[in-house]
Amino acid sequence: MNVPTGRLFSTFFAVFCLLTPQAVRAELVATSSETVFLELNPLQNGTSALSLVWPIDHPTQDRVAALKAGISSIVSGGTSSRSSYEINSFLNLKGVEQQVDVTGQNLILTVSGPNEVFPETLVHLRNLLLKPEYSSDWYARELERLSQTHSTITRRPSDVLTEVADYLDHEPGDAANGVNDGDIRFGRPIQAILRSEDQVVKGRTDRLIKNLPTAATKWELPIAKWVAALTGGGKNTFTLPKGIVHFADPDSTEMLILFVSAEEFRNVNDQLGANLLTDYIGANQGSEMFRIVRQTMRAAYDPRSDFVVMGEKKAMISLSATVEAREWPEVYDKIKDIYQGVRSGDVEQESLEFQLDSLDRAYHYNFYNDPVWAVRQYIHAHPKGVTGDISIPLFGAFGTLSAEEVIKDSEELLPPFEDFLIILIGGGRAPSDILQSNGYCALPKSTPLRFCLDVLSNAENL
Amino acid sequence: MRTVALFLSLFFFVFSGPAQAQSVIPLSEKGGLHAAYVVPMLDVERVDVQLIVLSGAYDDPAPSGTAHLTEHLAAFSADATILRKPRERDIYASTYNVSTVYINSGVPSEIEKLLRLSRAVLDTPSLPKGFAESEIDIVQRETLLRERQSPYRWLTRIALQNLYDTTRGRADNTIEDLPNLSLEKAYQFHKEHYVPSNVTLVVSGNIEPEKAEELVGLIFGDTEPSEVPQKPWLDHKPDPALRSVERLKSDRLERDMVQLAKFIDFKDRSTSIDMQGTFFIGTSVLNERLSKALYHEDARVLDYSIDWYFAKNADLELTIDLQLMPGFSLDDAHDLLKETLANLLNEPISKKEISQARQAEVVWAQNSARRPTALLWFLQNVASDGFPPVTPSVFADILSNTTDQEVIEFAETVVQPSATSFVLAEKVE
Repeated sequence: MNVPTGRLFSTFFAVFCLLTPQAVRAELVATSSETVFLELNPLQNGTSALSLVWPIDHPTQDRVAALKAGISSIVSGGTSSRSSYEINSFLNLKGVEQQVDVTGQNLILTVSGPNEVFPETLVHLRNLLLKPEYSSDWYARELERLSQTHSTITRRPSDVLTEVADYLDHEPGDAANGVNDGDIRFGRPIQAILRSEDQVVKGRTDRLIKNLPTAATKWELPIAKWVAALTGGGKNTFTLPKGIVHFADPDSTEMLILFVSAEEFRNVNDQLGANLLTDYIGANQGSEMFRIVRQTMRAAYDPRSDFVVMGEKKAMISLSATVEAREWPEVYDKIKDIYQGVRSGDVEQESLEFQLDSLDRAYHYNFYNDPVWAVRQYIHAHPKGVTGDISIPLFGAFGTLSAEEVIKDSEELLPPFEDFLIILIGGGRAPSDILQSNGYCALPKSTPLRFCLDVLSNAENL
Repeated sequence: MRTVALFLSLFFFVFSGPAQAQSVIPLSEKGGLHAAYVVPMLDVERVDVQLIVLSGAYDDPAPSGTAHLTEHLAAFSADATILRKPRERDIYASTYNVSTVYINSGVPSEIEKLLRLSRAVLDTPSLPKGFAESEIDIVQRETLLRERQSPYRWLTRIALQNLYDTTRGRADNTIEDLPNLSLEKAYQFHKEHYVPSNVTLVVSGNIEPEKAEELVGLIFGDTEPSEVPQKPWLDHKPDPALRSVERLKSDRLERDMVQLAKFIDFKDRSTSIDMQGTFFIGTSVLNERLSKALYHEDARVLDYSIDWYFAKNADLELTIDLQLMPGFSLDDAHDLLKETLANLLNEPISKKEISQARQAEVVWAQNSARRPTALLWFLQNVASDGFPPVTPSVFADILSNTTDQEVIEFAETVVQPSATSFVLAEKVE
């Protein structure tokens, strides 16, 4: 595949600050310096996209939620000249999409639309950012919408992993770190990433950024937070505790078994190798988990693995299945066997090569068709921006990785099974004493997983 | 069918840019199939074969879930018959309300294999008995999983059961019926419904029409016309005077919700084939008005969704769910929704509204053409009723041929008082 590249327009050392301008009650989130404005290869589906990136100064749960709700309110809640309904109509009529995303300590707004309407989309975006009409009701609704789903209710593996990812990325809630009731404005971003070849679009993007307010130089944050913000403070460790989180639901006939581990890799080749092996274990209908847990044991509809990239050479590895409550210990053992077998190199090379091709195609397709996914890859590779030629090393790794080497190194690429955190949600008997020996936390009803993750972490750190 | 043949014979160049026009070409060498089409798109690197069985969950006999179990058995049987190596491909099959769709996708050179995989779906499922028996367990697992993960599915089912006063046809009894699923019923369902005259084939992607004609003739040409299964649910209509309200409490909800199901009978119509443009523009206008009243002008509704189902006999079903912000009472939300519907057309629909709705629908279709999965859904949507598939470019033409007056009359019929069923669901710990 082609290795995606890009071009840098300008780069300056950027610091960001967070302050309350005297004339305006609203909080302004903006860089005080120049924006890094760069261009990645154009999309291939007839659309263009612009992503604006603001760093999150102090990424607690509350702060992240406030900033996401703040930017969501601004792009959908109306301006001084357009109601929220009119904005929604504009988006529908033009086929424009606005998506808010957070990765690590970066808040990202991506606006995308068909090439032919993208120049006017930038005018629309300019109005949203420069003339937002703050509504406390609208902000409250956005905040409520973003409030985390309790995965013990939905029992979707993806919801469980969202809670775990939040634990890994963000400190607990910190309501005291004021957010001005959500009256937040977004000024000059620290990075702007464009996916368009249109010169008019490039010119308008440049003007848009220049028109956005920069932060003044007066620091409002306490010195400790200020230093933390500049040095990428927040969560420094990317680890999960071992042990078992157990939400017992005696009325349920099913049990969700989910294993998850947070891994940091030496290099992108190791990351890709681990991704490949994880896919081999459970990513599709040819996988080991599907073949054995579903087709042979007939124990689950959706046995699966997930490899969730969380940052530069960081990922969560997860295996999961929802099974008949009384059968969960047996399936647990089988998933463990499958994992350990693959980790020990019991892998069919031809099948792994198929997985490699499949992953390569998925990365290629996503890069050229999904601007939100692509900008996440860029941010993961270059969290602090980049100078000179832009490349995303992970994409280059596809050309150098061989299935044979991955199998040979499987034991180093995948963590020992004992390192996994185990999450059990549903009915059936409690885990055995042996399983509980690494740590155990019974999760109360309507309680976030974070409660138990803290309990287990604190126990490990005693 | 004359109208259909007319617009299928045209070429459509409505769009510019990468979302190219897509023509729908009927295939004549289709054996006994209900219909077969090719949609050539020579600028893509893939080809997709959709085999659409024109029966789905609404056609379930007792127990509910039989069509779903049949889908699993047919899919695995077809793959086991044609494929020999694992990890070659994933199976994509889904049971919808009125159809069961099998999608086989690949690169253009694989087209013959993809057609053979599709053809094998029509053969009586042949699976080891133990495997087939245990597939019932898998279907049960899947159904429970989906139920847990989507609270709306459960509430919608209650609303529809109350609306139609039945647990069959357009309503179902999926969860309660799970223990009664049987292979015998599934094989019988296959025998009655997976018959050539109840199947539409749609080949799309990088394939020349002549090649499609040749291969479809080769692989499906030996199928014989067959008796078409009856669809008794099409005659089942609720009492127009019904105004059902059910209250419930559950710890399965994340927040309080109001669920509505409303049935609209277009009494002077017997088919929806010539109402497609009216349906899409009309519902778009009404969606905009509902969105404005329920969401943009009222911050007490956290989120909402609106679904429309237009049956082949022109019966229309509207479902709406509202998720409520904390502090907004269920009774007040119930009143809000009733009043919004009653007053929806107090202000006459303007030409501008209709024009914008038409444009928004065309833009939506263009965006669908940019995404392979969205395009497949687009092709199967109308085809699931046994009508010819509609491509985004054909869709744009249909919309341009729809008059404003048709849209206004459609909307006026929708808001007339008719059978409704509300569920007021309170979240409890």
